[in-house]
Amino acid sequence: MTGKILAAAAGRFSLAFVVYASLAFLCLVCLMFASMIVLRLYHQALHRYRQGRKKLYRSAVGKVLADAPLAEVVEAFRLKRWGDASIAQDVMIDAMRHLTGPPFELLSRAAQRLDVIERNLNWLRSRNKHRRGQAMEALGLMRTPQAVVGIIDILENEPLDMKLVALRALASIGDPAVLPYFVRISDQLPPPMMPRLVSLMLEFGRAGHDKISEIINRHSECFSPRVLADLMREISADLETPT
Amino acid sequence: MTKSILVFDDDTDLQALLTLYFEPRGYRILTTSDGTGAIELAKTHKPDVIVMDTLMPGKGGLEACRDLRRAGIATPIVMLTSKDLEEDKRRALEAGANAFQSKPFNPKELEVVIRSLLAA
Repeated sequence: MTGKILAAAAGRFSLAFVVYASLAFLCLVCLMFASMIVLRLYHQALHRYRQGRKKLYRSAVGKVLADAPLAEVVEAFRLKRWGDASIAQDVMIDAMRHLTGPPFELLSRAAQRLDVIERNLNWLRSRNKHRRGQAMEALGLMRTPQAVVGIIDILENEPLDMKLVALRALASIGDPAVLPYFVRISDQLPPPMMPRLVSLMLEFGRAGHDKISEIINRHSECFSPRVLADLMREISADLETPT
Repeated sequence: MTKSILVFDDDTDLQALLTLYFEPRGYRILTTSDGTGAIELAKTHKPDVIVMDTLMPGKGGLEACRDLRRAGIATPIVMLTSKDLEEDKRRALEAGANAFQSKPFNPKELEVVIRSLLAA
C-alpha cells in the first residue's frame, strides 16, 4: 500500500490503482445518471398527478364562466385533499391571467374569500427567495393592486433576478402609478435588459408611452436601430388610434 | 347545426378555458398546439372559425396564420393579440386574420366576435 502511494507520489500509478479509480469513476457516473433518471421520473409523475388534480378544480372555472354565484364558485374551489392548495391556486391563476371583465372580478373575489391573495401577500415577506418570487408572480397574474407596495419594496432592495420578476408582476398588475419606478430602475439595469424593460412597459398601453420615451432618451445606446424603429412605430400606431 | 371552433394555441390552459366556455354554449371545440396539426384539422374537420394567438413558440402565430392561408384554408381567423398593441393588430390583419381580440379578454366579447364572423 505504502509502495503504491509512494509510486503515485512519484508521478507513476500502479495498474491496480488506475483500474480501481476508473471503476470508481464509472460507478459515480452511473449513479449520477440513475439519480437523474429517478428525478426525471419523479417530476413526470408529479406533473401527471397535478394535471389530474387540476381537472377537479376546473369545474370551478366552468362555474365562473357560467356566471354562477360567488358562494358556488368558492365551494367548487374548496380544497378536496390536503396538498391541493397550490393546485387550486394554479387553476385560479391560469384562468385569471387570460380573463378580464366580470369573470375576472368573480375569480378575484373568490381568491380573496379563499385567502389566496392574503397568503401570497404574506409570502412577499417570506425568508425564502423562491417563495417570494412565486408570490410576486401569482399576485401579478391575479392583478392584485394591494401587492404593489410589497413588490416595489422587493424591486428596490433585491438583486437583479428578483427585480425582473418584480417588474413583470408590476406590468401584469398594470397600475400606471408604478411607471416612475420603471424609469428609476432603468439606471440600475444592465444595457441588454433595457429592451425587455420597455417591452414590459408596453403592457401599460398609452399610459406608459411618455415613460418609454424617457427611457429611450436616457439609454438610447441600449437599443438597436431595429428595436428603436419597432418601438417608435408601436408608440405612434397607438397615438393614431382613436380612443 | 353545431358550429365548431378550432383553438390553435400552445397554451393548454387557454385551450381548456375556451373549451369550458364554448362547449356548454353548443360549440364543438377542436384543439391543437402545432401548425401542422392546425392545417390538418382545418382541412379534415373544416371548423367554422379558428382562434389562435400571435405569441407562439417557434415561428410565431403570425407566420402560422400565413401558413394556414398559404395552405388554402379560408376559414375566418380570430387572432388573440397582446393588450393594446396596435402594431400586433395591424400585423395580425396583414397575416390573414379576419378579426382580433385583445388579451386578457372577456369570453363574452370573444363570442360576439366569433358570432359576427359566423354571421358574415
